[in-house]
Amino acid sequence: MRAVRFFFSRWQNWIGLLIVLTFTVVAISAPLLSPPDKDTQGSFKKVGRSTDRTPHPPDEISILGTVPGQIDVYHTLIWGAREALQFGLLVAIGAFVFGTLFGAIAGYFGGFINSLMMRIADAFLTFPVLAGVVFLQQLVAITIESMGGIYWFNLYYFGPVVDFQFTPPPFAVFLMKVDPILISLIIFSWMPIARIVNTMVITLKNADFIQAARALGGSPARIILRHLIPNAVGPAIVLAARDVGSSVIMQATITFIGLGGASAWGILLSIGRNWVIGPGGGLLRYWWVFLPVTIAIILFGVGWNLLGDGLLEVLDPAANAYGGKSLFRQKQKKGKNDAQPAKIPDPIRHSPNPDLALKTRGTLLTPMSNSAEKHPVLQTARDALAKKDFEHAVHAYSHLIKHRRNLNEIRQDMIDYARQFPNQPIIWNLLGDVLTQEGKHEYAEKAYEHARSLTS
Amino acid sequence: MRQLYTVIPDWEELCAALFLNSWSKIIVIILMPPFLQFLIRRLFSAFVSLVIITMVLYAGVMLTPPEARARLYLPPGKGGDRASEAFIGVLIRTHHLDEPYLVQYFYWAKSLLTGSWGYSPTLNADVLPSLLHRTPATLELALYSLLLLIPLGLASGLISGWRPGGIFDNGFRSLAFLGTSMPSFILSMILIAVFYIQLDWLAPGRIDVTTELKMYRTGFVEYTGALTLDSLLNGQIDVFFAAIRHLIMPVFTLSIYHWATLGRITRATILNERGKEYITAARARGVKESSLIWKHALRAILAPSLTAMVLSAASIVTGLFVIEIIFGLTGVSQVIVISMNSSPDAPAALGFAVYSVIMVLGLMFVLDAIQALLDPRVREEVLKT
Repeated sequence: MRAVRFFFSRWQNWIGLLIVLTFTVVAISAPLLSPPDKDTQGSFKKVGRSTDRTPHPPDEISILGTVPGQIDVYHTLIWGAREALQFGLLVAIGAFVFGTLFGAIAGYFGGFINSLMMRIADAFLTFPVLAGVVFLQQLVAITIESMGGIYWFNLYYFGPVVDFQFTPPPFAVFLMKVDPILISLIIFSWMPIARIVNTMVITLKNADFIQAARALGGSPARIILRHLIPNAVGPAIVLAARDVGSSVIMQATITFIGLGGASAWGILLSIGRNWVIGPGGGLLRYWWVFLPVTIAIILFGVGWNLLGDGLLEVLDPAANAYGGKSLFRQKQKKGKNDAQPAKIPDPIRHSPNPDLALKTRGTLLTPMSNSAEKHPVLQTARDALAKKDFEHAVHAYSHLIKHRRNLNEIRQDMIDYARQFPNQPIIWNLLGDVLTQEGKHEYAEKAYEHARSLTS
Repeated sequence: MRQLYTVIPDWEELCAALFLNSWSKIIVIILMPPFLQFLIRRLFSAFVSLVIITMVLYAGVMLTPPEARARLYLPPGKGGDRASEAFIGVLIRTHHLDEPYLVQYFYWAKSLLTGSWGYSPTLNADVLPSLLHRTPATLELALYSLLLLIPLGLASGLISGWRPGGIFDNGFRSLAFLGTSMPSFILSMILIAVFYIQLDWLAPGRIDVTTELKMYRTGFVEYTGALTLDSLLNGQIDVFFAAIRHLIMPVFTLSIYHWATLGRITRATILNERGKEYITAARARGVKESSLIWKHALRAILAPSLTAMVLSAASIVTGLFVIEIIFGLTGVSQVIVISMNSSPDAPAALGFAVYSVIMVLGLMFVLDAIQALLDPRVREEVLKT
C-alpha cells in the first residue's frame, strides 16, 4: 500500500501510467475505433484508388489523411498500437522468462557452471541486434530455399514473399508464420535480466529460508521456481517494462530501414518517407504522413520508460531517477506532526551519562523528528514504566521508536531508567532501538550486547 | 630495473594461450608494465568472447538442414535455385557438413581464420574483401561520434551532477530525456527534412556528385579510405569540407542518444562522489571549485562512466549501422542492405555477423584501454583478480 502511494506521488509516474493505459485501451478497442472493411489487409485500410501515389490531406473519409497508395493513416495508427503492444509484450515476456530462468539456474548452481553461463551471457552482449536480425532472416530464407521454395525479401513494402511451385511442406509454412524479428529481439535482450537476477540469486542463495527449503528436501527446480525466483525478479520486471518500449522502437527502426519486420507504424513511415525527405517534400507540407505515427512511436517508448523508472523507484528508493523532487515528500514537510526542526540543545551531549556524551561528539545527529511537541503515547509509556508495567511500557515505547517520534526524550528516559533499573535487559534493548533509529549503530550494538549479557 | 610484476594468479594459462615457453615467460613478466599486461589480458578475454559467440552463431546455422548449410559455400555462378541437388551433395561432403557440430565448427572457424568467408551472390564478390573495403567509412563515423560524445557526455554529466537542481542540471535532464526518447530514425528524418530539404546546409550520403567528379578528374588517391583524412593527404581542402558537410548529421544523430546515456550515468556517479571525504578535504585545503570538478572528481568518475559505455558497445555499433543505412553512407552495413534486397544471401549475413562482433569487441577493447590509461585503479584491479 505504501509502495502504491509512493508510486502515485510522482507526476512522471502518472504520465507514464496514463500513456501506457491509453495505448492499451486503444489497442483493445481498435475494432470499435476504426472498424476494418473488406479491403483491409492487416493494419492497412485503403480509402481510395491504390494507384493514386500522392498523399491526401485529412478529410471526412480519412480523419488523419492518407499516404501514397491511399492507405488511411488513422486506421494504421490505431491498429498499429494493437500490433505494437502485442509485439512489445511478447518480446518483454519472452526475454523476462528466459533471462530469469537462465540467471537463476546459473546462480543456484554457482561455481564453474555459473561462470560459464554468465560468460555466455556476456558474449551475447557483444552481439549487435541488427546483425542478429539479418542473420536469422537469412537462415529462415535458406532453409525455405533448400525445401524448394523461392524466397524474396522486400518485394514490396509488406515483408518477404515466398513462392512455392508445389504445396509447401508444413515446416516451411511454420517458418513463414514465425516472425524472425520477434525471435531475434528476444534472443538479444535477455542478458541484462539474466545478469541482474543472477546477482540477486547469488546473494539470496544462502539465506535461511532457502537453507530451510533445502533441508526439507526441496528439489533444485522447486527451490529455484518457488523460492528464489519470486524473491529475485523485482529489478528484472523493471528491465522488462523498458524492453516493451525499446523493442517496439527497434522493430519500427528495422522496418523503416528496410531490413524486414512487420511494424505497421514503420511500414507507414517508410511508404511516406519520400514525401517528407524526398525532393519537393517537407515536414509541414505533408505533416500527416509523418507526424501522427512519429508521435505515437515516441509516446509509446516514453510511456514504458517512465513506467519502468517509476517501478524502479518503488522497488529501490535509493535509485532516485529524477533527482529527489517528490509530491509525497513535499506534502510530508507540510504535515502537522513534522513541524520545523526545533532548535533545542542536543540532549545526548548534555546527558547525565558523560561517557555517551563523549562518544557521540562529532557524529552528526539527525533524528527524524526533533519536534518539541510531545506525542500523547509518550506520557502513557512513562506512566506505565513508573508503575513497573514493563509490558505496556515496551509496547508504547516501541511504537514511538518505530515511528521516530520524540526520540530525544525517549533516549533520555532510557538512560535515566537504565540507571534506576540497571538489570532490566528490556531497557537496554529499547535504548539500542532508539540509537539504531538515530543511526548510531555502534552504540546501539553496545546497548544490545549489554542486554544480552544480562539475560544470559 | 623495472619493477617485477609477479602477482598474476593465472598467468600460466595466459602464457599457454600466447604459446610462450618458460624462458619467454620470465622475460614477459620482468619487462611488462601493468598497462601492457592489462591489454594482453583484455585481448585474451575478447578472443574467448569471440569464440563463444561464433560457436553460438554456428549453432544457429546448425538448426538448418545440411542442404541449406551448403548454400553458405556456393561458389560464384552457381547461386540460388540454380544449384543442382548433386552439386549440393558434393558441397556437403567437401565441407564436412554432415559431421558432428564440433567438427563442423572447427572447419568453419578454420575457414574464418584463413580468410575465406564465402562468396556473396548478391554482392557478386567475396564477403571478407567487400566488408574490409567498406570499413573506413564506418570507422570514420564511429571515431568522430565517439570523439564528440565521450567528452561532452562526461562534461555535461559532471556539471549537472555537481549542482543538482540548478539551471544547468534541469536543462541537461530535459535534453537527455529528449535525446533518449527520440528514436534515431525519426530524428534523422527531421534533420534531413530541415537541414537538407529546406535549408540545404547539410547533406546525406557520403559525398556529392560534383565533388566526386572533381575528385575523379584530379586523380584523387585513396590512402586510407576515410574521406576526411584522404582529402587532407591529397591537399584538397574543398573535398574535406564537402565530406564534413555530409558527416555532421549522422555524427549528431549517433552521438545524441549515447551522449544522453553517458551524461545520465556520469551524473548519477557524481551525485555519490560529491559528498566523499577527499572532496571535502580538498575543498578545505582551499582547492578551487573548478579544479575540484575537473581534476579531482573527473578522475574518480572516469572508470564507472566508461564501464557503462563498454557495456553498451553493441548498441553503439547497432546505432552506427542504422544511421549509416538511413543517411546512405556506404559503410559496412551496405553489405546487409544489399543482401536483404532480393534473394537470400546467407554468406553475407553470416560474415557480417562475425565482422560486427569483431567491431564491437574492438570498440570495447579501445574503451577499456582508454579507461586503464586514465585510471590506474582499473589496471591494478584487473591484474589482481
